[in-house]
Amino acid sequence: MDNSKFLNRILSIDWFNNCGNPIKQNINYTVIYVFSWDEAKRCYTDPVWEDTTLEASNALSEFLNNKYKSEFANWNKIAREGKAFLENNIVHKIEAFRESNNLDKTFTDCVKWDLLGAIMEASYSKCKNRPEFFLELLKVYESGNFPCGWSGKWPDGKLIIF
Amino acid sequence: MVKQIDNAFSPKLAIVGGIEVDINSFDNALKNVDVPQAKTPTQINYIKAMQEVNAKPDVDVNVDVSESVPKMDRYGMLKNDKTTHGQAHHVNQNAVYKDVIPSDEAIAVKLEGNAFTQPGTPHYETHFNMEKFWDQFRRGGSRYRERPTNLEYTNAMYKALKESGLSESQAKEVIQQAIKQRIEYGLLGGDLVPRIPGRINQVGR
Repeated sequence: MDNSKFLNRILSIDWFNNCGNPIKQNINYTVIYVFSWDEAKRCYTDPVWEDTTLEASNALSEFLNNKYKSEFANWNKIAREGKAFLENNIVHKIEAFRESNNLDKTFTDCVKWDLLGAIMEASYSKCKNRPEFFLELLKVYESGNFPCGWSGKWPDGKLIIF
Repeated sequence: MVKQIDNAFSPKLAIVGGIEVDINSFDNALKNVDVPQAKTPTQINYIKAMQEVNAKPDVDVNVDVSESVPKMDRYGMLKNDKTTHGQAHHVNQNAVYKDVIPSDEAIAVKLEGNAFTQPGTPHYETHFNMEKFWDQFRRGGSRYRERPTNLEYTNAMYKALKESGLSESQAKEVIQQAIKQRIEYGLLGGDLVPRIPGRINQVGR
């Protein structure tokens, strides 16, 4: 699919320029805030956040496997193309930010994971009623904030944002 | 015509009658499955193709099962079994296939030890090796966000069972039963697995 319009959304993000402030657009989750990179780091390195985002990814692949089997067969092709886009256009920006803020490799891994999730959800836009967790996270990034954790047991609970 | 396209493991991928199949698995995997039992067009095609493979005299589908295998049954039965030691282990991991194969229906094998707390036991070591496989597909992994095929899963579980202490013939027999069940549920070798399991956080070795 031609998703250049969607990828331009990612290219135009001003990364993390609003951290510490409320997000600028509404999202479909109840949110709570943290107010420092130290707090954010505690959240994004918490296994709860990894489990939550993995389950959210599984929600899409399970949905496709059940209802859109032939589209699901393209999953790895879409993932690899998405990764190439991120590596060529985005990762150097995230790495520069990471280094200047003394963050760890997990930070970059989290951002790549979230953005690729959004790319994949967008790529399956023709699959009606698909899960859209990572497209919601993308709105947080577009707002200049960082989605860093989850309070509760997904899908119940609250999104933690810096 | 049988055209082999992957030789990563003895159940090789092949194209038979225009569809991908695992060859070499499957005398035992198919002996109790016939076309009337198949539920979907995909299953029907696959089973027909496998019958074609099995009819080919030049394709080796013989498996040495001279050693007895650990006790196997549906998980719902095996988890309550007190006649043998060990824990019931989902050969088709529940965290991977639970949306397709009901947990209690899934084929399981009795493995000695606790998967989380007893390093060195077959159950712990099987999961330990599978965790290394799954890490590739998790956040920070070399194939993050990709999904392995069922065939890759088969290879990984086969290797994990062998490295946990099962003999080659025992591991093959266990894996054959798992493949047979996946076929019954329409999960073919070339298809992607539906889920990546979360980390199970075993105690250190």
